[in-house]
Amino acid sequence: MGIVFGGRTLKQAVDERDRAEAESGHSYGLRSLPLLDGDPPKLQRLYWKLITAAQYGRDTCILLSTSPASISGELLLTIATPEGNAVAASWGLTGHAGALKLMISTMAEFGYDEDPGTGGINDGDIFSCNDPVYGSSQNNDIYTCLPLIHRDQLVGWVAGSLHIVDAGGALMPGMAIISPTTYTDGLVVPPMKTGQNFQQSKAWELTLTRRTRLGQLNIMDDKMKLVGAMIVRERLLQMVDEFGSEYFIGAAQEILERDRRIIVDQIKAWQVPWTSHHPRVRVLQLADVMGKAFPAAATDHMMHEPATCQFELDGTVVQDFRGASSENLTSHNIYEGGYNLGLYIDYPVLAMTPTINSAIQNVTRRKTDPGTIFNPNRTDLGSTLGCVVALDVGGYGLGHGYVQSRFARGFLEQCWIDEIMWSIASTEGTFANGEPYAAADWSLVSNSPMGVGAWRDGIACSLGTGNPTGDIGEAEDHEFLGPVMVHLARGLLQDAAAHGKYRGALGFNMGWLVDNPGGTTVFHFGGSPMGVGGSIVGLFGGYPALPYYVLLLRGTNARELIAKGIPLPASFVEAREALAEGTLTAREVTDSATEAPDWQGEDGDLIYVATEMGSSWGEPLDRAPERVKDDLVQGWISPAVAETVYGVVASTEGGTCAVDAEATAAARAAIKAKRKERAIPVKEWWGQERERVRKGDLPDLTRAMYKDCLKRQTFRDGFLPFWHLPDDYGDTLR
Amino acid sequence: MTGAGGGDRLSKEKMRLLVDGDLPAHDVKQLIHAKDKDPDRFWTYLEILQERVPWSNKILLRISEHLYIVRKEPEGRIVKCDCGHEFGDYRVNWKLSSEIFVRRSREALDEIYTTGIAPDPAIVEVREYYCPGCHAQLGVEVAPHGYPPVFEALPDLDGLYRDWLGAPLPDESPNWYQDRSTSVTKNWAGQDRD
Repeated sequence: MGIVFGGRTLKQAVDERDRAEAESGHSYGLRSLPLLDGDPPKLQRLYWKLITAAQYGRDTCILLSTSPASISGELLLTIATPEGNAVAASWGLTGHAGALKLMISTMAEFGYDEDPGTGGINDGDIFSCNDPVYGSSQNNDIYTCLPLIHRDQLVGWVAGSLHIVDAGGALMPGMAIISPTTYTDGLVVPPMKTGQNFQQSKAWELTLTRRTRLGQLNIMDDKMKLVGAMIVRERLLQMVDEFGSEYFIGAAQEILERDRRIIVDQIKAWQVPWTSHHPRVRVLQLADVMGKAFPAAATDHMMHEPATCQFELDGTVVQDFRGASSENLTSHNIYEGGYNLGLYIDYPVLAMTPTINSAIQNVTRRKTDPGTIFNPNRTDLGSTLGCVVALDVGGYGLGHGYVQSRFARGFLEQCWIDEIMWSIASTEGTFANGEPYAAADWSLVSNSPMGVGAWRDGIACSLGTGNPTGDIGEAEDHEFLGPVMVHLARGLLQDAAAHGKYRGALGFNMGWLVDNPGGTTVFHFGGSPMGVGGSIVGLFGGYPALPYYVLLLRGTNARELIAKGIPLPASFVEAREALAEGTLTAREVTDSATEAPDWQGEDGDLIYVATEMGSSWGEPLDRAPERVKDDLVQGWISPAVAETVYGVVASTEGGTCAVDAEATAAARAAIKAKRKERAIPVKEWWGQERERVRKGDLPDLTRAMYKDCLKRQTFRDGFLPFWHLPDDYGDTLR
Repeated sequence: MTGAGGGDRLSKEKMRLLVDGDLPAHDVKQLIHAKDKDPDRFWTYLEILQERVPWSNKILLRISEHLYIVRKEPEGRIVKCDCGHEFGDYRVNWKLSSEIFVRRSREALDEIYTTGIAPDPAIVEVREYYCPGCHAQLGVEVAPHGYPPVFEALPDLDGLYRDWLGAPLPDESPNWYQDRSTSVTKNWAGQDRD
C-alpha cells in the first residue's frame, strides 16, 4: 500500500501523471473538469484559500528573515500536488515553483517513500535540496519541503524556497559565479531528509555551518522557510478536512488543467503564430583567472545562446535552443532545475493566470542539442549560473519575441519586457585579528528596472529581480554585512541608457571605498548582462540592454582627499574626470564589463559600478520631443545627448525648458542625412563580410564559437547557406 | 475566467491613444488588469494603422514600429515601410533589403553610447539597419563579427487568420510559412562568382 492518496507509491503516481499528460497534452490527462463545471464557486473558494494560505505563510515567516535574499523578495512558498506540480504559490521569485516538480520526481524515481535507510516519507519529515540536476534551480537555492499527510495519505507538498547568501563555493563568496565543476559550486545536496518532527537535524545545521561561509544567516533562513511551510501546512490540513481528500486532490488537478487552458486561450487571443529568433552571446574571460589549479578551465569563452520561439496553432510554445555552444567547465551549464527556474521567470509575461503554478509546463516544449550548455551530457559540470543563463534567454531572448508578437496583434498594453538585470558585489577576507568574514551586497539584485514597453520608458529601480516585492534595502544594512566596503554613492546616472522611442531604464550607479581591510579583502562583481549586453537583437530599432560596467581604482589618494575635505567622486564618470584633472590619482585603473576578476583590495581603493541599463524600444528619432524635454528637465539626459542622439534641440532660458521645433526638425533631418551618407546596402556589406568570414578573419573568441557551434545542424543550417560556405568550413577554422 | 477575448470593445479613440503612447497610465493599467480583452482588438488596430499610412495596400500584419506585411500583387505579400519603401517577399528577412551602418570604431560607438559604457568592439559590432527610403532606423543588432543578420520573426499568416481570427485569407498556401532568405544570398553568391 503506497503512501500517495489512492494507495499508490510516489513513483506510480508520478508515472501515471506523466503517461496521462504525454498521451493527452492535458494536465493530468483531464479532458473535462467535472468539479469546476459542477460547482464553480466551490472550486474557486478552494483556489483562493490555497493562494491566501501560501501568501499568509510567506508574509508571516519573512518576519524571521535575517538575510538580504528575502529582503529582496525572493522567498516563495509553494503548494504542490503529491506528484510535485505547483498548484499555487505566494509572491516571490516565480521560478522556484517550477523547479519543485523535479525534486519530487527525483524522490519518486529513487523510491524515497520506500527507502528503509530513511524510514520513508512521514508527517513532520523535512526534505531539503539544492542540486539543479535533481531538484533545485541552483545550489544557492535550497528548497525546504514538507509532505502534506492527511490520515496517513500523501495529498500534497508545501515548500519554502530561498536564495541563501553564501553557498560555500570554492573560489568566491556568495554565489559561485566562477566554478568549473559541481565540486567547486559549493554545498550541493540532492533531495535529502534533513529533519523529522518538524525540526531540522543538528547534522543539517552543522552542514550549513561547515559548508557555507555565512552558516548562521543560512540557518535562520532555513528556519524561516520551515516556519512558513508549517503555517501553510496547517491551513491546508484544515482545507482537506473541510473539502475532503478526494475533492482536494481532484480540485488541484483541475486547477492545473483549467490554467493550462487559460494560457492556451491567451496565446491564441494575444499572440501571432510564428517563429521568432532572439539569440544571445555571453563572454566569460577565465583564461587569466583559473590559473594553474584548473588548467582545463583556463579558457576565455564566447557562448552562443540561441532562443527561438514558435507559437504553434494549438496554442502551445516550442522553445528551441539548438545550435548552442558545447557544455563547458564554467558555472553556466543548465540542468533541468536551472531551466525550470529560468523559464518560469517569464511567467508574468507569457502566461497570466491568477497565480503561479506548473500549468505552463504543459504548454511549453523544449528542443536542445545534447552535449551543449542547454543539455549537458556530464552531470558534474558547474551549474550555479545555469539558471541565470536560462533567465537570460527567457528575459532578453524569448521574452522579446513574446512581446513583439503581442505588439503585432495589437495588445500594446501587454507589451513590456522583463529583462532580469542584477548584479552582486561580494567580498571575502580576514580582519586584522585573523577572523574571517564574507558578505554580498544585494542592492543590485533588488533594484531591477521594469522593462521598456510599447507605450512607456523603462523604469529604474522598481522591482526585485523576478518578483514585485523587492526592496533595495538600506545602505547601512549592506555596510553592516560587508564591513570593509563603505558606500560612497548610489543614484541614477545621466545619459546611461539604451536610447530609443521609449528609453530603456536609466542606469544605476554605486560607488564604494575600501576601508581598512585589515588582513585581506577580495572583491568580486558579477551579474547580468555582462560583456556584450542583453541580446543580439534590439526592439524595433532600439538598442539592446547595455552590459554592466565596473571601474576599479587601486592605490588611490582617497585618504588624502578625505583629510582635506574634498568629496570623493560619486560615479565612474566623476572618477574619470577627477583622474583626468589630476585631483584623483590611482596606481592602477581597471575597467571591465565582463567578470571583474577577484581583486585583492587595499585601503583607499575605489570601486564604481554602473548597471541596470535595459533595452530600449523603437528608434531615438521617433521619441516625442516632449518626452526628451521631460528627460532634460529631470536631468536624465544631457542637452548634448538630446541633440546628437535624439535630434531634439531645446532651450533652457528663464528657468524653463522649451523645444525648438524648427531646430529639432533640422537636427533630425541632419541625422538621417548622415545615415544615408554612411550606410551601404546590405548586399554590399554581405559581399565584404563574406570574404572575412570565408578566410576566418574574425576575433579569436568568435572563431572558436563558430567552430564549436558548426558541429550542430541547426547552427550550420543558419550560418553556412547565408554566407554560401562549404560544408567543411568549420574544419578550416583555426 | 479566460482573460482571452470575451471583453468589451476598446474604443477606437482609446486605441489611437494607446498606439501613440498617450493613453494615461491609469487607463493602461486598467487594460492590463481587464479580466477579458476585447475580441475585435486586432481589427481596430488594423483600421487605425491603415488610416495612417500614405499608401493603399491592405495591411495584413504590423511587424514593427515602421514595417508592415501588406498585400501586393503579383508578389502577394510583401514587407513595406510606412514611408512607402517596399522590401519584398515577407518570407525573406527584410534586413537583406535594407541599408546597414556598422559601428566598430570607438568614435562611432561614442556617438550613441555617450557615457563610454558600450559593447566591446573587439568582440561585437553594433549594426544599424535603415530603411532605404526614409532612413528610419528599423533594427539594431549587437552581434559577433560574421553573425548572420537575425530574421526576427516569420509569421504564419494563414494560421493566424484562419484558426485564430476566423477570417481565412483568400490566397492561402502551404508555401507561405517558409523562410526563403537563403534564396537571396544564394543569388548574391551566384552574382559574386559572375
